[in-house]
Parts: sequence; structure tokens; C-alpha cells
Amino acid sequence: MDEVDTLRRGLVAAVVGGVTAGGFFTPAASYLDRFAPLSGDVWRSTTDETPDEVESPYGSATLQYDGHRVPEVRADDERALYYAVGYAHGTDRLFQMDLQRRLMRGQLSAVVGEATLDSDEFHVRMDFARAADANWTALQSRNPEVAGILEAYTAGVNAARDDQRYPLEFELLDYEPAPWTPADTLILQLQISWTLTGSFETLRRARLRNALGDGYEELFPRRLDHDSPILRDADAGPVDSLTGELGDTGGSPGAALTDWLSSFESPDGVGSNSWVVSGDHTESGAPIVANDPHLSLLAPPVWYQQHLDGPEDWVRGVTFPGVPFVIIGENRAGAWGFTNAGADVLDVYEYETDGERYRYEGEWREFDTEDHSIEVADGEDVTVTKRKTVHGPIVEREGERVGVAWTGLTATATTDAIHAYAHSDGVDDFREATRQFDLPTQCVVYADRDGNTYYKVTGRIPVRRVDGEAVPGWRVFDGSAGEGEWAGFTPYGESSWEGFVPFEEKPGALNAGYVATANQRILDDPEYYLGESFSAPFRGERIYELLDEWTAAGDVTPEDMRDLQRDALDTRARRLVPRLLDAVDVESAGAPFDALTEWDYRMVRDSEAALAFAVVLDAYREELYREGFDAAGLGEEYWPGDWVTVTLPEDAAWFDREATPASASGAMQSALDAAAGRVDSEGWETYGDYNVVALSHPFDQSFLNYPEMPTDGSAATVNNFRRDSDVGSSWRMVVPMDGEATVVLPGGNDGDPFSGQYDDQLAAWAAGDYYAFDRTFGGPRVEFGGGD
Amino acid sequence: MRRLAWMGVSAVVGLAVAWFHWVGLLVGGVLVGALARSWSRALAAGLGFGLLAWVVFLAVLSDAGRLAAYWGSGQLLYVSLAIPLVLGLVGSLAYGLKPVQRVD
Repeated sequence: MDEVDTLRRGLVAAVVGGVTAGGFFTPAASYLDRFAPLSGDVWRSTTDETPDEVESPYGSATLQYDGHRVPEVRADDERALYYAVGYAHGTDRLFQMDLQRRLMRGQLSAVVGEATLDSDEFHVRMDFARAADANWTALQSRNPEVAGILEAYTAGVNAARDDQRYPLEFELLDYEPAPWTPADTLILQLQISWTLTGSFETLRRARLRNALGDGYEELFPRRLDHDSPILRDADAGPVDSLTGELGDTGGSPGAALTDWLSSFESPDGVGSNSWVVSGDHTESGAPIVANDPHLSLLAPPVWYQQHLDGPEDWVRGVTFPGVPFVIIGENRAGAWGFTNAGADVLDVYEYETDGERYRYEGEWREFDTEDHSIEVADGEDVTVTKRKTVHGPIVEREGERVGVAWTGLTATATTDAIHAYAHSDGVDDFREATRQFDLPTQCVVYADRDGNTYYKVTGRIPVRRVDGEAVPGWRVFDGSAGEGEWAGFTPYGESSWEGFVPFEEKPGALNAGYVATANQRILDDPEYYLGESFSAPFRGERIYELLDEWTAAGDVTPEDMRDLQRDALDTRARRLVPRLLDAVDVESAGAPFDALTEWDYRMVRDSEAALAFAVVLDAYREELYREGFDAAGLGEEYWPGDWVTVTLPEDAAWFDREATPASASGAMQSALDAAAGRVDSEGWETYGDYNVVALSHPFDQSFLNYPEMPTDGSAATVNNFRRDSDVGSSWRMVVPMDGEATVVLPGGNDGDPFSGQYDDQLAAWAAGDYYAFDRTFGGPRVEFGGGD
Repeated sequence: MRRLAWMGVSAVVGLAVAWFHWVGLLVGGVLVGALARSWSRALAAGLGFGLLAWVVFLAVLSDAGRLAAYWGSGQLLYVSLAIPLVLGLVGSLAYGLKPVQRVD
């Protein structure tokens, strides 16, 4: 009996001891440390409360949230104000901020492993970090006031980092964020600028031209045939002839390099809508500003809403977490919003090289080189040799290399401009601030409470010259010959901008009746080369169509502007569906396709016809391009845009090729058959079954992702949502200069996935509803004190 | 009654330790298991302690306004429920360490 007893006791001791030891010394330890109830770091993180009082070296301030976790920050000193703003960002969005700076610094692999090594290599070679450092150095000497604010903001972020538990994502990835720095804020500004203007379209077009030969121009026209540029009146901006030879396109680097670089451009669909209507056309007699930027839709959102009440002014709106100042919003005097201008601010150069040197204007020069070690989690560090020429960084892949010049790689004064917007006292102030808005190239719309309206293209736009002649930037320049250089541009230093398009000569309009911007062509006949190509006019033409119609019938209201932001009429459908009905028998295809015969072209959730159009268009693209592009060695990412897809004529030369359909109508019949099969297998009945918002957290885990829900709109409607790339209206704002302003975010302001405010605005956004911009701030409150 | 009181004290001690480290969930199980009169009661006490720890955890989440999202957290919910139940149960095996005579 004793032996049995001893055996049992030994066995029990072994089990209990083994489990205990396993909990401490096996991989299970990290799970227990993170997820055990009560003590788990993940739970500690999400239940950690923001303190009621915080010591501030910059003096007193108050931060108080509303029910949607939107903070109001009040202070009598601007640095004290932005210290508290930094504290709010560090509390609510620290992981997002850290992830973005890691992306731009090429430090993702250090925490997620080799999956992001390509991205890190690209960002290291571009050396955005050095550009941010140059920016910070320049800012301190150019504008000590703003530099001081940035330091206060940085201190606030770090106070939140030190006072509170790290956001749970840090626990999940098991690393600690480094202290925030002013250069981190400036590198985040570069990140959004890169998203909006970092385009290798020149290389992609060269690749397409080589692969497709004849027929390339038919599928990829530089100028789309439409009558809805942003500035429609001849006197709206300077007009003259474009200089340069359209046919001269320079060299064409290898496919591997182009494919690689293309993967670091912005996702499909990044763009925006904005318009400003003067008081002459509004019921109140005061202007209205509307803006909805189309960016990646993420969990949490790219934007952070904040209301600031400073010593002299108030300002409210949204910013990118990590950037202290309101970027889109309103203040006491006016309101402003942005869309992407589509200007060409990136050029590529080829060189004659002998390996370590490059030829430049008749002499051999050493590359400016530096070895950089990329840390890789659970792997060996990878060393990348950064090379630079007089033009900028060298990017290389599989033996192919080009030099890159991008306006973001020099010091810019955009931070000064954004800061000045908050203090602007009307259109004159705002215009002066806009002069400093060096990057990115945007279309800004503005209205003030005195009744003025303003539209302007922001950002520095280079003028390239070959043999003294200004030329378009749509070619690969011979860097060794000194072609296509930007006078006054100093990469990683301070630029004089002397050779760039003068501010006064960039397109603009003061006190126009109304101006609508949706990334379409800015002018029909610009004096200077502005951009390689512009977005299709689907949204722009629709906005102008409705503004023309409504203002002709009477005066518009803020509710009309919200209706316009919600407008879901798809002008692609208006072009393609009549052709489709002529070419195929949709009645015999049954539901939902028979609904196309009597449809108003609106992409709304309960529409059968909208579902039919969406799936037919998907299938039509497949039929038109899949085999033809595969045969040319080109992936889906190279397919033409929807403008060409819906307008490609029956007798297009594309159909004469071997690997393409026989005709547009033949492709439509095949597309209808394929679409019917897809609808049947998916079990879809209406557009809402297809057009589902499913926004993901960067970790793409179910408990971190947003709930899925149907919504209206499409890639081409004013109410903008691209289901395939999760890009769409990232902030909707309608601000009348006299009346109630309304806004909504696609998600929530709090970055904590367990917070009730993580996704509390998503349903309203998906339904096209808004919240009042005015808020009652009665939630958690933090008092900042101490300091001078 | 005294045994029940000691069990209560043991649970409080286990929860107190678990507040700082997961090993508290095991310690709680060990203590309540060791105090039990039979194997079945020991195992039930271990499971009960684990369940108690989870309920306390729910109260903490509720107080912080995190409970609604927790119910939808899928894998995290299952893991955070399984951990106290398993550790409490394993700890309660300590009943078998007692050298005294037992009524089985």
C-alpha cells in the first residue's frame, strides 16, 4: 500500500511540477504571460486606465473625451496644448504610430520577421529616415516655434508611453516601442506623402510599352477624353501649351525592378472627393466645404479626430496619429479639405556605371554609399548597401538599378503650413500658409466665414529640362547626361526650389461659384506639365453634374452636400450597361441580371441590378485582359483602368491579338455567363451581399478586425468604397460656414480593440450617416499640471 | 465549516497571487485541492476555483468597459477561459500528495 501511495504521490508531483515547469520554461510561458486572466499582459493593457492627473513640463492643460473617444484639449499655452495632444495620441494610437515609423524606417522585420524584408529593403534604400532627419534639422532653424511645439508633442507621446501599459499589440508581438522623436513625426508626414505621390508610373508605362508594343496607347491613354476637369472655366487658372515631346520616353529598366518598385506604391483607389460651394449658391448665403479623402480603410482608421482649444484659436478635425496638427478640419475663421492632385513629383534616372562609380556630366563619381543592417526577428540580420547619386537614392533589383528623385527626400515646410492653417484668420492667411505646403501635391479647398472660397494646387512641382527645354516627367532620364534635373532641389538637405513651378502659376481659383475635385485632370491645357496621368473622371463628372443641376434649380444646403457625398450613381454603369444590353440577352440570364434593363445605375445595398453590374464588370475585366496580359507576361496589377474597360470600342485593335477575345460583345457574353455562375455559387441576391465592408487590423486576427457589414457605393461612385482593396472614404466632412457641421469616421477613434469606441462609428459610416462636429466632452478627463 | 472557510481563504490567496502572475491560478488549485476530502471534491474544487478566477476576471473587464468586446474575441476568450480551468484542475491534483488515509 505504501508503495502504491508513494507512486501516486510521485506521479501527482510530477504532473503538477511538470505543468508548472512547462508554464515557465516552454513556449507556453509566453501565452500564459500574455493571456492568463487577471495577470495577462494583454488584459492588463486593455484594462489600464488613463490617469486623472499628469505632470507636464509645459504647464497646465485639460484633455477630456466625448462618448466617441474624441478628445478636446484646452490650454493657455500652445506647447502645453500639444503636450496634451501627444499624450492623447500616445494613449490611443501608439501601436499604429510605431508601426508606421517602422515601415518608413525599414524596421518591420525586426518585429515581424523576414516576411517584410522586401519592404524594409525598399524603405532603407530610399532612406526616408535620412530625409526626416534633414527635415527636423531644417525645421529647428527655420521655425523654432513649430519645432518647440513638436518637441512638446513628442514629450507628451513619451509621457503616455511611460505612464501607461503599452497597447496590447506590443504584448502580442512581444516588443517595446522606442521613445518617440520629432523625426518620427516628420517621417509619418513622409509616409502619407509617399502614399499620395510616390508613383513609379513612368517605369510601369515603360514596362507596358515594351510588353504590349502596338496597342499600348489604346489601353493606356495619357489623357482621358472627358469634359470635367477640376477647373472648367478658361479663366480659372493659367493656361498655355504643354511643352515637351509626347513620344520621347527614354529608357526602360528591367521588369523585375519595375514589378518590385510597384509593390511599394499606394494601393489601388487612393484618391478623394472635395468641393467648395460659394454663398451665391447656398440657401444660407454662406459657403460650404465638403471633403472625403479616400485612403486605406483600416482598423483602427488612418485618421484621429481631435478638437483643440488653444490660447488664441480653436481648431478641430482629423490628423494622422503621430502628427500633432489638425490636417483636415475647421477653425474659427474657416474650413479646409484635401484631395490628391496627381502631380508628378518623382523622376527616375539611369546611369552609366562601372559598379562602384557612375558617370555624371563627363566624369566618374563615386556613389555616396553606406551599409545598413536590417534586423530580422528570428533570423540573421541582412546588410543593405545604400547608394546615392546627385539626384537621390539608387533602388536596385536583380542587377537593374535606377536613381530616384522625389520631392519628399528634401526638407519641406509642410509642417509650418499645417500649423499655420490652425491659426489662419481667413482666406488671405490661408493662402499665405499654403505657400509653405511643399509636399504632398494636393488640391486644397477652403472657405471662410466672410464668404470667400479658395481652391489651389499645393506642393512643389518640378520643371525638368533636357537641353534647356522643359519636358514632361514621363520618361526615364539619362542621369549620366544630367537630363531632367530639378533646379534648386537638394536631396537629404534644404532645397531652394528655384526651378519649380512658381506658386502663383499653379492652378487655383479664388471665389469661384463652386469647384469640385475628385482626382480628375486639373486643367485641360496647363501651362506647366503637372502629372503623368490623372484619375478617371467618374466621380468628378458626377459631382459637377449634380452641382450644376442643383444650383440651376435653386440654392443648396448642407443636407444636399451630404446627399452628394452619399451619391451612389455609377457613371461606369451608365456607359457600359447600355452596351451590355445591346450585346447580350440579360433577361434569359435571370435574376439578378434581368434587373439591368430598368436600372438607375445606383450602387445601393438592396439593388439586384447593382449586384449584376458589379459581377459582370469583374468578369468582363477578366475576359478582356486575363489571357492577353498573361501572354505578355504582365500580371493583373498592370491591367487598364475602368475608363478604358467601359469605353473600349467593339473594333478596338486589342481584339485583333491572338490571346484576346474576338470582340467586346463576345467578351460581354462570356462575362455574363461567368458572372451568372459566380452569383449562383456565392448565393448572392443583392449588392449588399457582395459589397461588404470587411476592414482588417494589420494582424488580421478576427478579434482585432472590424465587424463586417454591407454598404453602398463602388470604386467609381462619389460614395466611395473599393471592396477589393479596402480603400474608400476615410473621413466624411460637410462644414457650412453658417450651420451645423457633420462628420464621420469609418471605425472609431480609440485604437484599443477591446474599447467600445474601437469601431463605434463604423455602422453609421456604412449607412451613410453622420455625427455633429460639435461635441459634448463629458467623458474621462486628464488634468495636466506643473511646469512653467 | 472550518474546511469551507479555509477553502475560501485559499481561493482568496490564489486570486491574490493570480492578480500578479498566472502561477496564482495553479496555487489556488493546489490549496483548494489539498483541503478537499476526496478526489472528486478536490477536482471539483480545482475547477470551481478556476471558474471563480474567470468570473472575477469578467468583473475586471466589465469595470473597464471591455466586456462587450471580450465576448466577441473568439480565440482569446477560449484561451482565457481554458487557462484558469486547466491550471485550477491541475493544481487540485495536489490532493493526491497527501500521505494521510482518505475515503475514496
